[in-house]
Amino acid sequence: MKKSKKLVSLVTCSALITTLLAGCGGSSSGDSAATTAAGSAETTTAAAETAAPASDTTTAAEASGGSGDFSGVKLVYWSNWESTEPQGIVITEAVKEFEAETGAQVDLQFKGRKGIKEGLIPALDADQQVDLFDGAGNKSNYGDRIICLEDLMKDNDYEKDTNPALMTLNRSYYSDGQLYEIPYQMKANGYLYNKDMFDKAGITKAPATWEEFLDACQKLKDAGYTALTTDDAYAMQAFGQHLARLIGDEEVKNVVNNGLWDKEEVLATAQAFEDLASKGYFSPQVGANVWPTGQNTELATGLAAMYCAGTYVVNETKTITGPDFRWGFFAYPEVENGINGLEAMVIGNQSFAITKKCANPEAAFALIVKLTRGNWDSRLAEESLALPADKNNESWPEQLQEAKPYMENCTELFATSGGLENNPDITPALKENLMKLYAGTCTAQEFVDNMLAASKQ
Amino acid sequence: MKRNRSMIVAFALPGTLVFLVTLIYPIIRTVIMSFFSIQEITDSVDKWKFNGIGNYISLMRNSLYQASWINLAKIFLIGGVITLGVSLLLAVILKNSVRGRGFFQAAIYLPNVISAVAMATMWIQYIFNPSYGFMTKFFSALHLDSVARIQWLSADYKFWALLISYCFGMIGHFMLIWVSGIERIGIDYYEAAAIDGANKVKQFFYITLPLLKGIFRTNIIMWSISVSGFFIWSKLFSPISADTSTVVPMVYMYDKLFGAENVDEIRRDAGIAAAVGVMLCLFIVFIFTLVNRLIKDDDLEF
Repeated sequence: MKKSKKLVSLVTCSALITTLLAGCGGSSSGDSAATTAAGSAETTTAAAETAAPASDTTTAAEASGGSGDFSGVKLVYWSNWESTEPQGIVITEAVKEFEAETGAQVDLQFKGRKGIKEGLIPALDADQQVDLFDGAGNKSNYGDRIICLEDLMKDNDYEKDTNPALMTLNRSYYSDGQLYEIPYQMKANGYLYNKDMFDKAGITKAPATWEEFLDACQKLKDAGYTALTTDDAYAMQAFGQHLARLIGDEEVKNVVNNGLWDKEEVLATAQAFEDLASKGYFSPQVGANVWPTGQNTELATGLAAMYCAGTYVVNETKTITGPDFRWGFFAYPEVENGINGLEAMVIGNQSFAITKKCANPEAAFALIVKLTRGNWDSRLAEESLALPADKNNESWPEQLQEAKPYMENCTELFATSGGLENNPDITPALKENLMKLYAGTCTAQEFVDNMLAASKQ
Repeated sequence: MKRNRSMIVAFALPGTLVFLVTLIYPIIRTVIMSFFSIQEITDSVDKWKFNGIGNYISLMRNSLYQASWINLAKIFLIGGVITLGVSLLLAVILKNSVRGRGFFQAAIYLPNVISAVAMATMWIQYIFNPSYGFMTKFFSALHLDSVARIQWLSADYKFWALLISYCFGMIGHFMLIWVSGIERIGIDYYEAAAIDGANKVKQFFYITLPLLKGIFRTNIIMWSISVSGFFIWSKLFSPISADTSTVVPMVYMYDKLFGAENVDEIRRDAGIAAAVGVMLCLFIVFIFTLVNRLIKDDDLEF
């Protein structure tokens, strides 16, 4: 009896330990959510490790700026990455080099997305020292906690090497039209696609118009492929950009903020997607795709050909796709009776900002220059499969080459999802009804009716 | 006596102060904040604008907030019946000398020691996935194609998928509390009842259930506390932005306090978030009062 009790205990303990380890293992996004939720405050004070600057990188660093004598200066840098992410790894190395070159001491703390979102404002308001930080673009919500960077930019002749559309975008966030954040890790939104599937389906040119897009969908279907998939989190992107092509993103914001769902363009857009669903272009499981199911199990595994999201998907799925996956990109197609064309698109970036508490903005800016110019910008782009911030960097990741002409020709900026996500109180109902529309379980008219009902408070 | 009184004050004061500062002060501040328009939780009082009951009125008129309470009520009532019912049933079964009792007890409790993130990922990716998930494969193997075709994570079924997953994880926790209650009941009662000819079912309804009244009350209050803090499961079933079928007040509060994702113009409102917090607190107080009124356990002594 005693023996069997011991055996049961042993088996139970082993099961517990195994399950715990299984829960901790892997690199699923769920796990990463857990890590970010913890708001880890991993501190990497690399001051002690300043002894080994590689001589071959020094030249590149000098070429990229970011040098100077900042001996005795201490900077506290909060990053929204995790130390194990590609961006975190590159930033750690760049910071070490910066310390070695300038004599500054950088307290680099990886806070994760949630750490910045939830913790930065309380920390700054509690008088905690944070000199600079990175995170999602549009830092206007930090108010006067961050400083204007126009003078520092002029002093360093910085602006000339950044895509002007991005500078316009980042200035547009502030009522005074000044620049308070330095863009990096650019992204473009549109359709990411599987080039092998396009080739096999006989599609020789990326669609530029809605007719060409429909034609590509049909060819993919005829070749036995699922043309389109999406996830609930990104469901607003295609619909929003389509509607913004018809009425512009400001008018889209007007629709979502004032419940103007009975506009004829909304119905026309819904009908366009109803048409896609009825022709069987969407994945049969699209209605049940909770992010990142569609992106990971359909697009990255080669089960679906196109996915409307940002270029960051390439990095997010690289462990699934492997290096041989041939990525393509095209901006949201032009639509009939539209008021804008391919020159208008959703682009965005991560960005750096310097806080008001920073006693040495020059040193903080020098570190930003180091990270966004020359060698380290190139490394960041390569390692994280993102777009470089420095337009002199020709080393765009091969996977994103097709996004380059679209970004270079972008002259009109759409808000996120063409402005469709601008009302957080209506986004949940919108998301639910869009997924139904894509799955073919609701008609265009039902979509409009449901949204009108959801907008009534 | 005088010395004793000063000793009592000296010993009680630090604890009382800590309690007042860490618990009572935030509660009072949150209640006050709920009557003001405040952008940041850290804004100084001079930036607060008095709004009366404006925050509460705008919340009650907001359809998403209403949906969040409807979801919470469904989780509380339906999930409560499932979780407390199944856990009680399992506790009663395991109370009897079932072979491998320790193993089953540990196995049923297991989901509680695994991170909710890992559990939710498992349910979303391996149970409910429409192409390779367990539900699809299992019902296909049974040739129940209409059931196999159900897309559990689509808008129509997502809430139920969420509820099943959450209850599965919570059953073990409540089962252990039931077991501890059952173990307090003396074996003599059951032996006497058995001699008098009562079968197991009668023993359950006439001995176990009445003597578990106190535990029942505790479990309902514990359940209401767990449910009012429902957050991570909802976030994982609708990542990035909330979903009508899975949004709960805590998620709504989070989005108001820290701002929703993907919005160009981020809008935060700590006053509204405080009002949500107050309403959640009142929910627990209401349940606590109701349960204490309805279930009295001082009529039986054993």
